[in-house]
Amino acid sequence: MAIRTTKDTVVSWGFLSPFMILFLVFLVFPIFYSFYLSFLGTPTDFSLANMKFVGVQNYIKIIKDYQFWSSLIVTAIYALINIPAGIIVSLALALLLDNKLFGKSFFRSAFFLPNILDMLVVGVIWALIYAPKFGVLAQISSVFLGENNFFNTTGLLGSPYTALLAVIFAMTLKGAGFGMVLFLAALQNIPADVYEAADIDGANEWQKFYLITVPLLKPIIFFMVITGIIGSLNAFTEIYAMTSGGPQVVIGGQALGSTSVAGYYLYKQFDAGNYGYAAAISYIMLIITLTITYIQSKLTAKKAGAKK
Amino acid sequence: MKEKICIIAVVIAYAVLCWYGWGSSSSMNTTADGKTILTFWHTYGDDEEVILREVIAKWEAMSENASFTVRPVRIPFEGHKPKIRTALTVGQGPDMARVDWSFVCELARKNSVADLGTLGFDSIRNQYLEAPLNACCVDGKYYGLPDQSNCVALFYNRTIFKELGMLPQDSVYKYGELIANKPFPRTWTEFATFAKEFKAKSNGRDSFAIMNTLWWNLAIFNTYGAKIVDGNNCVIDSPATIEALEMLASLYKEGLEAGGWKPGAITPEQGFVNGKYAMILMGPWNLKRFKEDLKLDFGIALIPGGHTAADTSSNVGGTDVVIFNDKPEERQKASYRFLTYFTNAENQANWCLKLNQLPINNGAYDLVKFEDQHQIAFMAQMKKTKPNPVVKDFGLLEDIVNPEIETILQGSKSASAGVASIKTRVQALINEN
Repeated sequence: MAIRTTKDTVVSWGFLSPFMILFLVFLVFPIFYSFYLSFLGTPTDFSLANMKFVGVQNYIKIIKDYQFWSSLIVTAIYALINIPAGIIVSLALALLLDNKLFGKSFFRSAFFLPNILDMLVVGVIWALIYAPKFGVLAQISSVFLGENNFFNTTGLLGSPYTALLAVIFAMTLKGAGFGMVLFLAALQNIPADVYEAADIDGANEWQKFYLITVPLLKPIIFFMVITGIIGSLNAFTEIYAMTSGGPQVVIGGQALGSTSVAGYYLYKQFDAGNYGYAAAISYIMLIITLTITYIQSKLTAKKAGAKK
Repeated sequence: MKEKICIIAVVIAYAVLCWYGWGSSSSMNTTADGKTILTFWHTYGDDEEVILREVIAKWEAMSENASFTVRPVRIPFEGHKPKIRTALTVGQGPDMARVDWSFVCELARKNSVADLGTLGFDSIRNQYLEAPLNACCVDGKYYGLPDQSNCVALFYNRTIFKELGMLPQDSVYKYGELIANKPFPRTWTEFATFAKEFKAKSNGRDSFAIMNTLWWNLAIFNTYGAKIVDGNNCVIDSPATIEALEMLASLYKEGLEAGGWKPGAITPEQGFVNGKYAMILMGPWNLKRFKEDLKLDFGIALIPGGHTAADTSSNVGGTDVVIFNDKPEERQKASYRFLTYFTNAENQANWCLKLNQLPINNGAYDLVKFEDQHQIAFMAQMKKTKPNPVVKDFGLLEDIVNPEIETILQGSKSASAGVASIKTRVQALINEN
């Protein structure tokens, strides 16, 4: 029904207002307020009203904060491994379950199940699996490799060289179910006659996958890359549950957390009451996310345009 | 039409209710019979709250307190700091609260709690144990009263040692005084020898495990006389701290400490409960759980000294009660009367005997006669504690110190280089504040 009169407009706004009020109060206002907050210093008491205006000092402090830049590098490494790994595993599962398999429905549900579990629960379970000496991995490895093996003595989360990879492995398996569902839906929308035409042209399975399936799945891959980048910049719970930012690694004489991602560092600042500084960090992260997303979308659009 | 009138009436009634509720906050501070309500946010358990309510009833029955009533409100200990911070930010804090010892300094420096000196605390200050009271002393003024204090001591699993034929003779204590502690390691050097023997006899089993947080490490630092801050100076780079850290790193390097501090490792507490670690540092809060719930057979010894047995020491933990200064003076005075009554010798003795806890009131020490050897051991250890560093934000201090100590324990940094890094950053933090 089209809106024709002022009364219609008022009624429409009336119906929209419950959502709009919540949206403005809990989403729009915090976005602008945190921007304002990023120009304020650490409060000298518990009243937010007494925070001093410090201009761009918080942003200047960020430039000099080697721990923040270290956490951003860790985040980049996390994203660079986690996103492709997530896409590959999700796609592999989707391709597997797109065939006529016995128990296909069961496996679809089973692979999707970890995705609905709470991140903290999954993190704690994986921490117990990886735990040296008493964890499942340590017990199994001791049977085959003897007591004096890496999984039993140090554990995957105990070494700065393996801790981030171990977290990524756990998170890839947790998130694979969601990607699998997206890919499955997309795979089932690819017309069968495209593959038939390829068969007639003599394409082998790999060529069909690389030249037909992957290009037609690009919108899903793009979506997963963007959500993956946002997810990596927001990564916190898995680190909190599994490593608390450690183990430490010494770089340039400074102890730096080998799994201390930007989201975790932001939490630590907020928890310490540095609201202004934490807000400034969150804005830097927002700018990074928007920039990457913009470049990504431009590149994708350019490629699509070139093909046309 | 009738429907419209009903809707308008409901909207008007709702608006009036909101207006009334908004404007009548003062009525929430008094009971129906006109008594002023003093809100006390606490973090006690079920058993403790029963005794607390008994104390409140006795206090309210006193004639000078007839116009007040104390309303205890339980909040979870985990997360009590952010809850109180948020409440204070929006001006909805309680009259009094029980807080972790490390929170008092932050509350005081942010000018949120009352200086007890202005309420007459100087005349009764000597009633309280010195080490826990020191955690309430900020810039020479007292901002809280200790209500519960603890420290850590060395727990050992008697079953494991018995199996190996290495069971040390249990330490014998009599009302807080150590009578005999001969066979158990009395210094860290003796401890290392003992742990080596254990390792050899047990075919490589884990003898000892520690946590790596500053608070837990203070127990060991104190046995060497190491300090973190002295006034406004960070003094962590002293030879004593370096010696303590080198000792800990060597224990790990030689396989005498299990690496319970590593990310992802089984914590000392979990490992001890599961019989994986033979010795850990632990506090009295787990006595009931270990003994009655888990039926563990364990003993408690004093923490080994740095160089001699007399150097044994520990950290100070526990909680303090504070009074918030945003309330009217009359209510602050009444809160002070309640808290000093709550922590007096008689009530403390009753509290400790019923709940098997350590007293914080010197007078209560004479009234409490524990029969439980574990409790008596803790009383002996408690007497050897040293005050914790008083800093604005202990959490921030831990954020700086813990990662550096981890690199020292890993062996990727020397103790002297590690403490030098800590000193630079902690000093900057002190100067900033």
